[in-house]
Amino acid sequence: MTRGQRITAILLMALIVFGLIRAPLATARLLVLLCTVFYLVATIYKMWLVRSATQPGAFFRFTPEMIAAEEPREWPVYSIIVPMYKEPETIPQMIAGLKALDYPPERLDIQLLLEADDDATLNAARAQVLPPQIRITEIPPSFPRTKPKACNIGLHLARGKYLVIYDAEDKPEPDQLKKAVMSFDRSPDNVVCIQSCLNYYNPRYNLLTRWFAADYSAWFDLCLPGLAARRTVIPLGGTSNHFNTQVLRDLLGWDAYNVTEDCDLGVRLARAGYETRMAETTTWEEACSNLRFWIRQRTRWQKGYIQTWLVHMRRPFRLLRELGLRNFLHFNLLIGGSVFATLINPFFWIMALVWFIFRPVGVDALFPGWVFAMSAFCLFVGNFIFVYINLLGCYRRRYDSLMWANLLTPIYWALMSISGWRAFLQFFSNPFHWEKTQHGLSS
Amino acid sequence: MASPRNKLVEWLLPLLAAILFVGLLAPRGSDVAVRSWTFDGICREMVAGTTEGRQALVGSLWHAPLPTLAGLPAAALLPGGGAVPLVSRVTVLIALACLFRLLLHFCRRSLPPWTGFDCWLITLLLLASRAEAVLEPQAAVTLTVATLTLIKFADWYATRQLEDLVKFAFALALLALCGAPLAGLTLLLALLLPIVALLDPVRRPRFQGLLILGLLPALYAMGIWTLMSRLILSDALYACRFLIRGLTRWQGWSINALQFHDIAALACCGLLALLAAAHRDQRTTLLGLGGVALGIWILVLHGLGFAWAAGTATTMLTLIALLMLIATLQAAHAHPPARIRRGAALLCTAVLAVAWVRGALQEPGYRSITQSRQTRCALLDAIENDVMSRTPYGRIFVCSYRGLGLLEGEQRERFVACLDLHVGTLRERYTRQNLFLLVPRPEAEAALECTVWRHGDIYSHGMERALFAGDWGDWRLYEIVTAPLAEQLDEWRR
Repeated sequence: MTRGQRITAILLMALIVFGLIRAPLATARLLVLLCTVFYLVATIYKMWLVRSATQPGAFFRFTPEMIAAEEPREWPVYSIIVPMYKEPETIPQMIAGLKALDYPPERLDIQLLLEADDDATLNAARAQVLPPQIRITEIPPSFPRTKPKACNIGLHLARGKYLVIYDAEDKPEPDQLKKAVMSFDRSPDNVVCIQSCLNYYNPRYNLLTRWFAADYSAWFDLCLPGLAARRTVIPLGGTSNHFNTQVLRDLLGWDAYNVTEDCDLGVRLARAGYETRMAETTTWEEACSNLRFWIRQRTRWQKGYIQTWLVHMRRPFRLLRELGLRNFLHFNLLIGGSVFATLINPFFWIMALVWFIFRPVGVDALFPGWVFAMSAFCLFVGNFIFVYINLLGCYRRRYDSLMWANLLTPIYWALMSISGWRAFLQFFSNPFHWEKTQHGLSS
Repeated sequence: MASPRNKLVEWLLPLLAAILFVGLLAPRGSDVAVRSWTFDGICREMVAGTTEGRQALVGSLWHAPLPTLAGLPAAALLPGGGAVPLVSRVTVLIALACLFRLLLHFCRRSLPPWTGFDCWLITLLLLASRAEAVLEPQAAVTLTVATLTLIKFADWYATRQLEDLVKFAFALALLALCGAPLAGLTLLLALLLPIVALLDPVRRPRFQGLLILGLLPALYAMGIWTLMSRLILSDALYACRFLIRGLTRWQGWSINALQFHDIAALACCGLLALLAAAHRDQRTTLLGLGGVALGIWILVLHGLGFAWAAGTATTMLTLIALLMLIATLQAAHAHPPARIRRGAALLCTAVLAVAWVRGALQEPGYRSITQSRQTRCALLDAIENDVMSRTPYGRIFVCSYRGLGLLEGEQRERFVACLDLHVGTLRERYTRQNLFLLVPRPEAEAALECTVWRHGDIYSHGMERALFAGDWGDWRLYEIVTAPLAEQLDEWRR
């Protein structure tokens, strides 16, 4: 946070505290009104995004016949970078996945980014017979010890026209690279990033993975395509984003200190006047099946969103000028709004529960007239719409058997609020700490 | 893509048509006026944030939540006694504009533009013949939502698109919130969804997902209604209690219950559905099935003794016949030669026209609203004077939804609207006052309210500790007898 942001935050807090002391009812009413308006806008916004996902420009879609029709052609050199840290067990699966890619091997430039002091992973990689297109790049030990720092080194050494990043446990669809190239070919020059869909190969492992898979399906199959259809800023997903390498270099790669460097990069692309589109091809990942690790992962993501929001809002007017009003609003609702919602949700859930069970007199006074109407709409309609969107995501992914579990999505939201508050507190105590996700738990 | 100007015209045209329609058919039947006053009364109470308003919102299947909620913005924007009666008319206007827009869209999508305009005119005429059933907010909103639901279901049936399924699901939820007038259609569509999903080999593998996506919004809406009823009225099934009475007094099936225009519309639906089935036009066949279901629903309403509630279903049946007519013309236009289809469409047009002429020639039996409002004022004055002559501490509780209509636009402190009648609670709340109950004649929906199913029809028989105090036509006054307090006895002795 900059000094100006700190002063603003302190002043805002002081103002709220002062208001609560001097005029508690009026201040509380004002806060409730602001939160209610935010909820209402967020609900309508989400509906609009999902509606937009049905528009023709939401996805690049290519059938196998269309890909076959491209041949013979000179495919461009494609760089793949795979950052890994203390994941020796994933090496064989990952190399098998990379070998399975349907792309001319001589046009591939694959780097395994391994930390020089991570002997276990290094040894496991060296033990494999690597094909010529795969090489090991050792990352010298230095701070910050984050994935984006390793990616920046990989970017520097990349030789391809296009570049994609995969995680160690990723299983991209074999024709993904060809689809990305064809998407770039059919896009205007300012489209420099193609985001693939992410989903999980273990969605039925337990209740948590069922929720997680539905959440991802809604996000990558409905919300992000909705954003792409509207040609707006897109917070990139963690992997499987395909870049124009030169433009990425010009933008100086990833922010090594940001724990959601992908999201930050999506905003930076938009600020520089570039666009991101979606391609209908999926990379299969492993859903975190352990609650403790899931909360740690979510904490990192939400902390990264807070970082991203604050970094870009250091100079809000400049951001407004660079993004334009439409993208500026998208950015605030998507990045700032999602964290804000997880932080305020518990208060409103508790208030609703208390009101339903005990009917205390004071709660009524906070919701006068129209505020009550809007709140009731958000409570009864808004929450349902959010659950329904997850169900739609499941249906589109053909996860019909996950839909019943997703009727319990409000519990998942409660878990998100726990990680949201953890992220908020960690942001002040340990802002750059990277809580690494443990993989291989459900294998 | 339609330009903004074209879009403006597309919206303006139906709105103007709705204004003309409402304006030309302004004289309204007395029943319509009573229901509109009740609607205004509910909206007024809701905006004022009273318990009676909240009770009225969820307490009846005939004054269902969705039409009331649709009227709330107008009620909030038009405050004050004089403006309140406008609420129902504004709501009707908006609902009819949406209905016309929907029908126009259906026509234009199915037919060349010029034919769409013709169909629109036919729609206006048909609706005009059923004016008494359209010109009240509940019916107008319900008809609009029902048409939307039916069209969306037919769309989903034809296209299998997820988007159409979602639109249908939410429309069905809205229709469920429109309550009893078209409950038969709601049930039919809810049942048809799994049947279609099971019978269609493409949809069958996705049965589970289709069922959840298609029916969850409607189930959720009903769940929220029930929950609200439990919270506000302490009875989750308050709005449905009357059904026991209806079912125990089943009057049997009688084809005579159908009027000429019902039979005409049903015959058109049947003929066009058969024709569509022969040509494997599933969408039109499905619409015909909706028409037949509505015919059965009208018979059910008569069997339950709710004949007075069949107006909306009858109008909907006419609308379905019209939609089928349009769909048949479209099919004839798209797949020539179509001599039989054109002939059938011509025949149906003639039958519907005869039905319309017959309806238009019938004596409407209108009474002007002004006269009725004067009657209402006179009634309230007479009752108030009567009570004042007995005691200066009188408080009159006006029972039933009709009570809300009776008090609509009146500022009288002595009268209190009362829906959920608990005499004990009233006694506790109004100690030291003489309490009176004003009970409506148990006709139409007033026969289905708690004063009847909870207190055994007090209009005819009175109730425990309620003594008959007067009769004013459709209303009777009862005085609640309470043992005097010691202080009151002392005062009287002095």
